[in-house]
Amino acid sequence: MSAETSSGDGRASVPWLVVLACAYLGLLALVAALAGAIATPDDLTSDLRSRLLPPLGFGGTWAHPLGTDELGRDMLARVILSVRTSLFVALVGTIIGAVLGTTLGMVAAWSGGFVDDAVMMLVDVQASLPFIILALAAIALMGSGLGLFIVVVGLFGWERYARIARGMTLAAREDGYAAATAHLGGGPWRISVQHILPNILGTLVVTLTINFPETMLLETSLSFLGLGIQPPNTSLGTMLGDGRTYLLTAWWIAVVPGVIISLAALSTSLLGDWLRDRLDPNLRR
Amino acid sequence: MPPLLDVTGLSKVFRLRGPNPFHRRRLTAVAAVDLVLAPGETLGVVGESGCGKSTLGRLIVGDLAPSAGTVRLARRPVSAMTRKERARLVQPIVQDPRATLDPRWRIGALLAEPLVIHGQRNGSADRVREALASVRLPPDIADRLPHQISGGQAQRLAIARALLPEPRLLVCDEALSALDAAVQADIVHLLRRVQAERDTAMLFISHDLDLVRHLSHRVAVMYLGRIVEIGPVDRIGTRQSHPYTRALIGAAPRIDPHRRRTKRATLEGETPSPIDPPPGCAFQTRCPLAIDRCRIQVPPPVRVGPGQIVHCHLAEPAGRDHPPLHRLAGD
Ligand SMILES: Nc1ncnc2c1ncn2[C@@H]1O[C@H](COP(=O)(O)OP(=O)(O)OP(=O)(O)O)[C@@H](O)[C@H]1O
Ligand SMILES: [Mg+2]
Repeated sequence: MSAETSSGDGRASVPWLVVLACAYLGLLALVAALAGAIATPDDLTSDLRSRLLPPLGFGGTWAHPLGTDELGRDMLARVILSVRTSLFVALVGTIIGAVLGTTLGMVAAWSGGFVDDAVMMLVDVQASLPFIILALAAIALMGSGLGLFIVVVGLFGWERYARIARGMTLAAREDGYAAATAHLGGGPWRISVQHILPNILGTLVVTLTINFPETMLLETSLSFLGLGIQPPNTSLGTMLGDGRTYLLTAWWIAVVPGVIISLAALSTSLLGDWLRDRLDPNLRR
Repeated sequence: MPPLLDVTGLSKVFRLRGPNPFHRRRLTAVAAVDLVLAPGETLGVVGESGCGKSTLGRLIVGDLAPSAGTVRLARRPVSAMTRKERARLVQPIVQDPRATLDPRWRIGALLAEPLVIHGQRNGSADRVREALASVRLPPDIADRLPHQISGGQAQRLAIARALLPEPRLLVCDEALSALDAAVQADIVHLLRRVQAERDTAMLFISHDLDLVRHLSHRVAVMYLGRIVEIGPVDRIGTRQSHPYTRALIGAAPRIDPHRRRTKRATLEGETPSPIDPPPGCAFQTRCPLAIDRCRIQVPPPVRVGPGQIVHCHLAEPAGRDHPPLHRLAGD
């Protein structure tokens, strides 16, 4: 992948895999944005007479292209609403983590001393504890509202951004353009926002694209365990959870959301790799 | 005229991480340096690698906090100034100017940045054009990115940028070392013109003795963090000079018919470590003239000629006959 894009004139041609990935993510985003218009919770009324109908091509009908679930709800409508929920949670969660981590990392780098030590200790604690256990504890203690759930998901992975932002801020401060701006009279704010941030953005975006699928999977796992999105809301994770018991009899209940999640994770990684090559100024000659 | 730069008792001690975490070794990079610099004056700073030249420069531009002593610019301690005040008094020029240019910013924006920082946004486009013209860079270079200009252009650009806050002192640390001879001559010419036009003082740190001689009014010679000699450029390396200065200048290849007869002082042995400097005179372990006192007592400054100060026990104050330095040197 990276060899293909970084060799010479990567400017003109975008690798077709990246195009595919973008198309897929764009489609998901479109579905999420229009979900309210395409499907409503009314489409999720259960109809026990049409339980566990297979998707089109496996003996299903156009009435339910992706089949129905164990309660006879239309899988397509459910998938659409789930994509919206899952993408929303993962996106907001990832952004919370990225902003929080980057800010903490930069603050740590600029302040040094006690603040730096404290932030780095938090980073180490976060990195050394299995996050899902922490999330379980937090949700068990404080309830399972959507807001809290998003915050919990957002706390996932912040330490990566913090580490990267701190390290790169320290490195950039040490010599070069950040020092030059300081000599000219520019303060930490100008140096961080105008110089360091744009230069480390590429790395942060790559981290973000690595984190995004993981955040999605975290949402999925927590919902799968029944601690995330609660009925009547539905997410790809709750669908997976519901489908687990029917894997042998009605595989599509779990496989459809599973495939959507996996492809989303793969696409984000592909896009991230490509973006990193594009955003690195040293490759942009 | 009051000095523009006034450095007194300046020291910098670095604490090193060693094998023993409870006992950090102390490295004295700059020790008890005194110097003054008048507006429009150029002071060359020479000395072998690791003697503390860059550290001295970084202390003066405020990159490092002194362990002892003060740096005053226009009579005010640098440590008490705001960043912007300091920027309007002193600017560094470094060896690798490209590293000081944000690779994502266009040249025009980089030049406008000091103006924006100092709240002079109005007419900044004109000032940027003037700045480019003043270092003889074509105006269309403003649209380029830093990696699209040459090394010499980058150094001109760095100088133009450093001059925009209208500093009164430039600290040039090996500023010309990375450039080839023709570009070097070009930048020397540029610095001279800037100095003549604006009365800017310069601290010119360099390994290149000929360049320093060419550009400086006065020269300071450093050894193990100390200034062992400071004086007018034409008196450096004369018979009243510090033994180290003479060795340093003798070590540099020069064609000089008068020197052929005199015994050339050459340096023997290794430079002692700044972590564990010798007692007394820093140079005593290698000095061919060292006497007992040199091993015990740090030599005081001695004024050996007009404006020339040497830190040596053997130096005789100006005006005496037969300074012993000459006798012992075997002249
Ligand atoms: N940040 C630092 N931490 C620890 N020691 C340092 C640091 N900076 C410099 N030193 C040490 O201080 C001494 C002086 O270094 P400095 O860079 O000032 O030398 P210099 O005269 O500029 O040498 P050169 O001619 O090679 O540039 C050296 O022994 C160096 O190892
Ligand atoms: Mg140096």
